[in-house]
Amino acid sequence: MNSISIYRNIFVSVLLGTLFVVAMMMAESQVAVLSLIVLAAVSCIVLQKKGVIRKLGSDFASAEKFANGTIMIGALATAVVFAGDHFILLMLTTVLIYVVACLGLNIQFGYAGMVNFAGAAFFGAGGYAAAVLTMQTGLPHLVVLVIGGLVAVIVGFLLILPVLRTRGHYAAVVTIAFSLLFRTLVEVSPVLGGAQGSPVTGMVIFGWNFNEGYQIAGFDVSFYINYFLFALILTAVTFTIVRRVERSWIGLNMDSIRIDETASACFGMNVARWKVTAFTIGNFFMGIIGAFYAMMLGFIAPNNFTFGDSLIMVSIILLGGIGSIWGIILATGIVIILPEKLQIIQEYRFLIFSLGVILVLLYRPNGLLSRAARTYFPGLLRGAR
Amino acid sequence: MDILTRSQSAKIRSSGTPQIVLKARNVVRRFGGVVALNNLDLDVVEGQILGLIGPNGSGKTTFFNVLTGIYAADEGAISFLEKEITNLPAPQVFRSGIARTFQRARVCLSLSVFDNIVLGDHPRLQQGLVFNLFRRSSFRREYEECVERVRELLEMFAPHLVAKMFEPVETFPMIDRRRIEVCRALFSSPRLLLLDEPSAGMTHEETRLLVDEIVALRTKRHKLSIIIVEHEMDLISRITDRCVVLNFGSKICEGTYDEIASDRNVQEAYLGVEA
Ligand SMILES: Nc1ncnc2c1ncn2[C@@H]1O[C@H](COP(=O)(O)OP(=O)(O)OP(=O)(O)O)[C@@H](O)[C@H]1O
Ligand SMILES: [Mg+2]
Repeated sequence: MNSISIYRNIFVSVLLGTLFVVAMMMAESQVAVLSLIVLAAVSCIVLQKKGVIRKLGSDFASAEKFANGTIMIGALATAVVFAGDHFILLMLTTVLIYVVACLGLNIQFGYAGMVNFAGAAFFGAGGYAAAVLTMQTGLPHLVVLVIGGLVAVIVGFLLILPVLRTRGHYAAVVTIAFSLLFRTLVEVSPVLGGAQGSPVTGMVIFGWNFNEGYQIAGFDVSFYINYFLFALILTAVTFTIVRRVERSWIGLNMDSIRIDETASACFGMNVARWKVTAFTIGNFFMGIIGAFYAMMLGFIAPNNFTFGDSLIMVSIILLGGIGSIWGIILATGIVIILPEKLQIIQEYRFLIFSLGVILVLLYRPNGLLSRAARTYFPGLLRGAR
Repeated sequence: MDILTRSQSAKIRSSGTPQIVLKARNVVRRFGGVVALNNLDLDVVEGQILGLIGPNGSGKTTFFNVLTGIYAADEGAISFLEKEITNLPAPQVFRSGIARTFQRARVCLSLSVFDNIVLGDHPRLQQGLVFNLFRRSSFRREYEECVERVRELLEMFAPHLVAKMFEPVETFPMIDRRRIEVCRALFSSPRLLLLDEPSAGMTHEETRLLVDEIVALRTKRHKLSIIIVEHEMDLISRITDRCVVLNFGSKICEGTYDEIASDRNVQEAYLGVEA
């Protein structure tokens, strides 16, 4: 194997991907956006047919650290290009926020097989924790983020017994009911601002005020760059932890209870323990990122975490590939950016996503980028053989 | 009825009394109106292979399920290695040293051979969050030990799978899936192994190979006892020390294969003739 060619392939594909994202962001007219979409779809299909995607997949897997680093640089470069543009930075940051939330959901749904249609409620729980804590206490905002995660975990504990006692569709119904209930409770709660919502302070960390922009050599840099950079850090941390979950006995246990609870129990596994673990880790990520989201918007209201948002999170996982981290990142990009750029589909976005999910389930049941077989220590394997 | 074979009795005379590892008494399990197990008494002697046979629906799988804690017994008591295990939850039964295979091979198809086998010793792996997520070099040491142990087991039962240890099980034929399932059940070095129709879905020849390997293993692990459920009688006659015959949930006969094969009740049960 020629390792230079591996690095070159990774570099070229990340470069092309970054250029595509930049072009997509810059495209103003609907015709330009549509042509870019068609271009991407056609090239993916052609490359897939020619086996290039498969080859690239194995290249990325064999030089994982380099690939991740290159993608990170691509993301930073994109932010630099749009450093002056509030709207685009906000959109890119929203993508990262959904990535973190969906990676949390992925631990529950993708690994442990627990369908959770209340994702947005846990996200909202973190958001409201941020609202109350930033408005009424002087707690450092990093602590607020962590408490946001913990609040989501505690709210999740209310749900854990019914979720453990029911299976499959019934568990799904329990989470749907909870999602609606939580929203209604918030709407009638005067402390949380009712249907009008509640203001949230912008983020400040060690004197670094996120709501202030910069002037660099006469060029105005949007304050959203702060949120983008911090979201990128949160994404990287979440990514690393979720990867380690997958590549450990914990991920193995979760896969095992998803596939066959009874057989797992027959080999000594405490099924409930791993369901609670998956539920807790997942909700923690959703809560943290919900708190961050609220601080970025400066405001949180029941409309920020509707049942529709929970559905979007589940469909991102189905589209991207159940359990597939990169698949989820790709799908989040598509699901968040597409309706923003293609105004014509705004109103029909749910219809289009449902169609997309159905098509994917029919023709690519493992999602756009299916999950690869587990390797606990990538690279080790190849060296050993 | 004498529950020892001649060779076994000879062995025991030199080493003291035979140890009965599993003792089931008056076990009853009903499903609605169906009595799937009716006052079943069953003993397993250490180091022996017990054949559990009977027509379809006679309660063999149900016995395994009650024993391993998947179903609760309605009445009766089961003890294993002098310890009461009646109606313990499945994980605790496993921890007491009983491992099993399933009638329909129940391996995790999308997981690798390694993953499936490692799951067979779940309680002995370190399961802490900090250990798994943040002490990666310690985790790696445990992981590498497991790779080594899985390799050893595969070399015994499926040497051709050693090089394919990290490939998903779904890519292998039935015989290999069965072998992987047996390896998973043996990975924790259990004291009692339950095999539910290992021949299902395999040819005669494949079954013979697999079972011979299991029997060979017993010469290395003297303390391993086995209960095997099987419809192929030549296999039962060849490998078992003793057999228990079930019909409609009741034990109708017990003894060596030759004894039960010549029993009138057994013949009638298999031919479906009313006694
Ligand atoms: N979960 C269940 N619910 C209802 N009835 C059951 C259940 N499991 C087993 N039975 C019934 O209990 C009886 C014994 O079934 P069991 O599966 O133990 O038979 P078996 O001896 O293993 O048969 P086979 O040789 O076909 O595998 C049957 O009448 C079966 O229908
Ligand atoms: Mg059966």
